[in-house]
Amino acid sequence: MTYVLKKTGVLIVSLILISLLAFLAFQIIPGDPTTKLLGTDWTPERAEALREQLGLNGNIFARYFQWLKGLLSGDPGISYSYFMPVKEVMQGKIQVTAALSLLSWFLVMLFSIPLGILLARFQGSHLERAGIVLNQVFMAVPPFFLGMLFTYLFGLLLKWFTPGAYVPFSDSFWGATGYMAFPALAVAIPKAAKTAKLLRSSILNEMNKAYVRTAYSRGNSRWAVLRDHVLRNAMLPVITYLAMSLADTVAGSIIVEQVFALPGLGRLLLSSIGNRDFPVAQCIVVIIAFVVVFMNYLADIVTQYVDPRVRLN
Amino acid sequence: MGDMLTVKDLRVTFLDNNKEALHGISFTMQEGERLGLVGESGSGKTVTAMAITGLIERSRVTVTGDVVFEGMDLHRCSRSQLRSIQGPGMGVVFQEPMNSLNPLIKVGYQVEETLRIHTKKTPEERRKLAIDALDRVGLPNPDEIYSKYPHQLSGGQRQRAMIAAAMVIHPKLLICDEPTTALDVSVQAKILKLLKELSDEYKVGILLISHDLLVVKQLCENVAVMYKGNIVEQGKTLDIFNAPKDEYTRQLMAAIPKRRRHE
Amino acid sequence: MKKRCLALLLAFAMVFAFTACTGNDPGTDPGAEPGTNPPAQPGEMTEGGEISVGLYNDLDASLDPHMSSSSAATREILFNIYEGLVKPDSDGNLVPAIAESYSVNDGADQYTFKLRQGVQFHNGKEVTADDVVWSLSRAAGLETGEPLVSDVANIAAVTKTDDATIVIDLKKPDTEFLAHITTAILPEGHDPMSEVVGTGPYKFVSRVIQDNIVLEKFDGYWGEKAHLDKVTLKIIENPQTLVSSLRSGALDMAIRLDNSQIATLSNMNILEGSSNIVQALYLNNAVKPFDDVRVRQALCYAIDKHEVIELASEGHGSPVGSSMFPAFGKYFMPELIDYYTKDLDKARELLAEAGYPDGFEFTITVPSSMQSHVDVAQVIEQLLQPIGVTAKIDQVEWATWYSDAYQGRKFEGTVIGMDAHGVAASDMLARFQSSSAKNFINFNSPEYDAAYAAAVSTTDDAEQTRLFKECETILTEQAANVYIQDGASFVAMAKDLDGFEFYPLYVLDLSKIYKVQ
Repeated sequence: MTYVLKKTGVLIVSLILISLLAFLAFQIIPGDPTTKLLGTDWTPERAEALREQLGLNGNIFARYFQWLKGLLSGDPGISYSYFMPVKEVMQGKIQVTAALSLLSWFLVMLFSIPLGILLARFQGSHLERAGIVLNQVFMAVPPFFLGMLFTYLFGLLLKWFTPGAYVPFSDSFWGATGYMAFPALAVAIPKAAKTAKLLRSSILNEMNKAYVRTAYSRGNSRWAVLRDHVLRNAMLPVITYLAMSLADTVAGSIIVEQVFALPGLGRLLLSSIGNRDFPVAQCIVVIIAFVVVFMNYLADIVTQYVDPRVRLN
Repeated sequence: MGDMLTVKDLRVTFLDNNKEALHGISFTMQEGERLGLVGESGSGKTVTAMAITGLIERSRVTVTGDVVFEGMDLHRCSRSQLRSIQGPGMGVVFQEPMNSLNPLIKVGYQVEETLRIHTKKTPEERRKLAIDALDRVGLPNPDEIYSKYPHQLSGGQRQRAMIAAAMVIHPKLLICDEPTTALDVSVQAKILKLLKELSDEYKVGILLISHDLLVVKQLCENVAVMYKGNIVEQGKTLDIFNAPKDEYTRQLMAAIPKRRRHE
Repeated sequence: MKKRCLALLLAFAMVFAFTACTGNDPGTDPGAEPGTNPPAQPGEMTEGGEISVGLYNDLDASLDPHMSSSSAATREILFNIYEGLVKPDSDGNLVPAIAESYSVNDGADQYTFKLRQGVQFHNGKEVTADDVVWSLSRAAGLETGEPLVSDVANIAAVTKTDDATIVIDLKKPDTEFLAHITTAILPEGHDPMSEVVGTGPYKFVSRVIQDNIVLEKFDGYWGEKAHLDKVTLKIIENPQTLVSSLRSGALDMAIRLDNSQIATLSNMNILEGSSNIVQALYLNNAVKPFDDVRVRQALCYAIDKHEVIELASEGHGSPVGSSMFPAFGKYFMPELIDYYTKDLDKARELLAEAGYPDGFEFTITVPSSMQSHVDVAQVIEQLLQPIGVTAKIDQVEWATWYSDAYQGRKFEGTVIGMDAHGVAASDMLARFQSSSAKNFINFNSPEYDAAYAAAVSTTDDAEQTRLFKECETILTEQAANVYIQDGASFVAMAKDLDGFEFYPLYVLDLSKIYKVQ
């Protein structure tokens, strides 16, 4: 219990630090939001008036606390470039990014766990050597490149989907899922390859443990040893990694959304940085950071639950 | 009573360093016999045990000679035939009770595992037999122990649980690889006593592997002394204790402190 | 194969027809009928249908046509929704829209507009003189004193003399005022932030931020109605994704494509037009060494614009010699294009005279998102090497470029394109007055200021044209900037679409587009 409390404390402190960093980072980058807002009619006087109106002139920490207060009460402020609440600007976008991230996370697990097990099971065979080389290649391919490849291969050549013709979930659930499968795959493949590699070495590491010999001595087949004994132990480090990789798929989505023209948070983040629309950009950064930190937190808790040595002491 | 286990001219060579670990050893065991295999570390006694149980990865070694258990040639049979005697034919108790149980699986599950693999008993029957076995090895509150994790038990309790797990299916042969080395001296004696009782009660043969002649003396009527991959001397334990013929056996004897010699 | 050749030929014919009708040869037929663009392929024109058009950037948050900060990309779409008293046509002429006719007094400070009867707003209400007075007063900021649209800041008063007549009084005479009165007319008292209501051929239906904007045909339009029932504008920022969306058929059309993008679009008809910008290496005339006219001239002699166009855009693009692009017709001066011809010896000589016999080093700041400007900057870097001038290219984010280089005037050289709000020469030339807030290159020439002031105050058209040309000539002679080109701009359209017309302005006229059988 104290473990959970301690971890929760760490979670809260990291979230506060992240929000501070996100806030400060956008204060430091060059470029003034008023330039974009006033466009060609920018004058120092108008800019000053607008800065006053947007509350850009106060003490930086006072502004931070005001923003944090709003954020905590569910009101992250007004978008500089759309003049509407940040919440409204982000409406519908969170769902797209969340769906894409979850789908690719699901694919990561779908591919990496069987692959990791197979590679470990056939250790030393030609199959394993070929698998490892292929895995190494997939690990190194950036998602945006896979995205472009898929667009060309599955979209333009094989016509399995129509690049650029995303329909929202509200219009057609399967249509949206079918389209999203390709960007999700682009995000998932490198991540799945990394996870499979980790799982493989974790399994091989476990295979040398004494309890494995005991399991064999009872007449377990190789598969049974893997399934009933090794996998649980080998998954312990992988769980943390998988939790972190959900956060990674969120980050991967940002780039891939561009390639597949998906109306998600990633595109909004990039354009809001370009427009110096700080309230929107800060809010998205905080959301992503929250996912990262929270998944890490969850991983700690889950690992703890799975491992009786930690749980019962 | 016929021969339960026949080992004839067993040679084992490891492929990775191309070293022969066993240079052709031979011995036989009758049903219910307790044989001690004694020697210093590196003498090949553990390799012998692993070769007999089929726990050496076949792809990592070349084995020549015969290991015949209950009429089955263990180095020439199929993997599934081999697996069918692992558990019901011979059970193994390993040296390190700390690591030899799976840390993430409850003790009960591990004790009844051989039943699950080799018999068609229902979960309730298995549970009952497992609790009986835990009880038989002298663990207090076997019901509770059944649903505990290994790390919640003491070292001696864990080794008793290991023995229960091997004994639950009543094997013909129990191979004990340094079963007491990692335990306190007081616990050691109790475990050896338990093994002896079980062996008598269930007519289980025991192949005891140890570096300690005194441990062997407490449990086994016969002994084989190994040195650098060969058996240098074998016979009745008391005979060898009283009149060791081989030079190495004498050295082993001499290494035993005087005050322990008459334990 | 045969089919492709045919399409290519037709596209070619189209391009040729286009260049013939916009600006390059302005004297021929100024009142040309809107049908001058011949069909790209034989086919029956049909009414109705839906298309998707790709846009690089989301429109501004505010679709208020009077918001002065609206970007060119927003204005070109709003062109389909809102109209002013007059509106530009594809030849750059101003044609009556909500007004039916107009007259101007001799002093050019009072304009009288006769309103067209029966013009409807998208909400079904008829446009009244009161709507016009209210809209123009709002745009000119007559009540607040803060004009929303700088184009109409010159309005002193708008009065309704009867239900169909409007009189506009100007603060000072302006013969080009008509070009500025394209300002949108809204229903009286209407807030365009809450609802988008105009009089144009398309009405606004819905919008998803950073995803799409849906327009529908307005059946009550007073003029020639739109042909398509529905147009979805889809925002796709990534240039490669835009291309693959065109190839996949997810998009039926996109504008402002560059050379590299059209290369793979064999499934589309490609039209070539111009960007209607003046792309140049703009030089900060206030910093060393560019405060010396000889240095600026040396650069002009070293950088051959024809070579730049050849290398950076495979020869697509029209060279310019001053701050005026060909679509401006009578103001454009082809004779200035080759005022400086490539002459490296001359360039070295000028540098030596200015005290830089061994050349110098400077930085070209370019917005990284604008590939065509980056490409040109890289060619310039090469072309300057022989005279010992080392250009360092600094690619910056657009927002950084805008605030630092443009507004802060903290740059040495920058490659960028300048466009015009309207069809008035002053749209291009006003910024180079030494006192202008938009004079980001710090050009300072009393001679120029005098010529410009004389040009905007005269009411004689011929005299005004002469004075504006004098301004252009001064910019060239003083080598204010190293002028390059009006860049090529390509339009890709599905093969079943036709009717696209290029405008000399930043305009995408969707109403002319139709499907062919």
